[in-house]
Amino acid sequence: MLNQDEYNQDEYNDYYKNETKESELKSFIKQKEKGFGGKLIALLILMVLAIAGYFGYNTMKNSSNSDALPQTTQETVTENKLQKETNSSSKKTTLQPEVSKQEVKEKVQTQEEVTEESTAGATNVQEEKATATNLSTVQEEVVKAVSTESTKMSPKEIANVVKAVMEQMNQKREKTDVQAQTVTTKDGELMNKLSSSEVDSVSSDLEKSLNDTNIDENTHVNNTEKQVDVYNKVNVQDVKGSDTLSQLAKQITDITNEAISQNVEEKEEGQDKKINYTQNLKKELITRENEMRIIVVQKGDTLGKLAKRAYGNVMEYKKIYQANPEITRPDRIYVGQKIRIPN
Amino acid sequence: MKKLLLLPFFASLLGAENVTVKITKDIPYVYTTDSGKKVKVERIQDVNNRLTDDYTKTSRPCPPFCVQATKIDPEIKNFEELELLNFMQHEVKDGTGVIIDARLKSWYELESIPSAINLPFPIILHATKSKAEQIFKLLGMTIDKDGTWNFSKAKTLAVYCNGVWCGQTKHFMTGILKYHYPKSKLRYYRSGFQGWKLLGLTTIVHKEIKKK
Repeated sequence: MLNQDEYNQDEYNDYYKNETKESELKSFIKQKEKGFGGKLIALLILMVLAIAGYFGYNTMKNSSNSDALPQTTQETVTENKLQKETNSSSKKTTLQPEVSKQEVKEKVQTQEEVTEESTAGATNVQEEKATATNLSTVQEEVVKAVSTESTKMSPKEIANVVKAVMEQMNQKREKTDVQAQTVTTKDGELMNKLSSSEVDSVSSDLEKSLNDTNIDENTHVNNTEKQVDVYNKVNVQDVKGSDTLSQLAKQITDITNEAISQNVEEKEEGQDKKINYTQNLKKELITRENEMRIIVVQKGDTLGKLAKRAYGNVMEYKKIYQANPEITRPDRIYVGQKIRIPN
Repeated sequence: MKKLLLLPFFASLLGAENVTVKITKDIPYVYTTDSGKKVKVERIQDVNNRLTDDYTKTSRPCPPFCVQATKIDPEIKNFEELELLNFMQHEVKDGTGVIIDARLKSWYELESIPSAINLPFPIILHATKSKAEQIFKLLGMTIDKDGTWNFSKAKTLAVYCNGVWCGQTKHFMTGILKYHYPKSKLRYYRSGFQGWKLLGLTTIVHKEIKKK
């Protein structure tokens, strides 16, 4: 059985060792810098890289990314700019992967360019899709190159190519994380500057652009199919199992239902009678139900419209936006998306 | 041929990279079943994710919603997430244990821990002897020839409710101990559902509340 304390201690020890090694090396470099010059520094850097190892380094990088808040320059965003962004993003076409018959390394370079292009602007689902397509194309190329005898690649070369692909994936992930936060912060600022009428006009423009394109709808269709949403919630509402555990659950549910019909839940004993625990629980349940309340986005819906429907005020769309962190921009919702409507 | 042999290795490297937020250093996710469906229990992979308006309420009137004692009973072992996941993978899988959601049915239906079955605390707390017998039999209890309840093959129960502010597990334990269910076969997951949610672990929705 796993022991959480032991595990945490091991992890802490590993991390602490790495930290100590790094700081020792840094101080060593400082001391010796004057005497030995650039060659020694280069040698030491290579040693640090060797010690950290490729995967260890990646892990450290990931963990530090999750803790640190990205520093981004804040822009003053006007309504015009938002419209411009919206229009331009809706007009963008899907990037087609170029499959070169040359060396796979060239393919990786092409991929690098595409990734840079795609991460230059605001977060765009279409661009992400293109990047993902290109990544998979590179991987396919690698597989093809390895499996065909005509291509002469040594295992070392293959390892280099795979390493390059993995680096690309890591870079892409980091950029996406930073972008998501940048856009959210920018939108937060933007929201505070918009008036009610401005939101309405933006909403109608966005509605038009939503009607014109079904990009988001297509992109997210897989998530809906998997019945797992971004919050790791698995919907089993319509699933009926026949395994042993499901049968046990069903038999106990039958007993529960029978007892509930006899108002067993309402019974209170001793001190509980005064406190009325189950009644209090049921009151709390209302809060929980409101937290769990969702709507499924229909064609033509915007956050402004949803807010008006739920609260009678367009400006309350901030409430919905804040309760759904997976919405990176208020204008980025898609048909079929499940959105939480807070109380 | 050598190149082909290397492929699964590289493919596994690429696959392993997908799990950014693992459960522990060595466990990226575990599998269990719920409602006959295979469920992958993992943590939310978005490193920017925050709990917002979802099990984030901090303050409820106390009493009745007071901070619970660390131990329900000195002989009942406490569980935390890793023990519960381990339990899910072994005892639940081989049928020697069950995760019990002791909350009211309506709470369970909204969201629960994968593979948990619902046995609301009032059902056990107010159960007659015959009702308790009926439930315990389902949980593996047998009756000896002399009519004694034999718990030697009874399942181990890992019980949880909403979290440290919730007393539903305590009420459940009071009820089940009244009929001498062995303490050695009971576990208390004190952090409960809120603790589970806080780690972004997979949950099960039995009833979706849609708004038009």
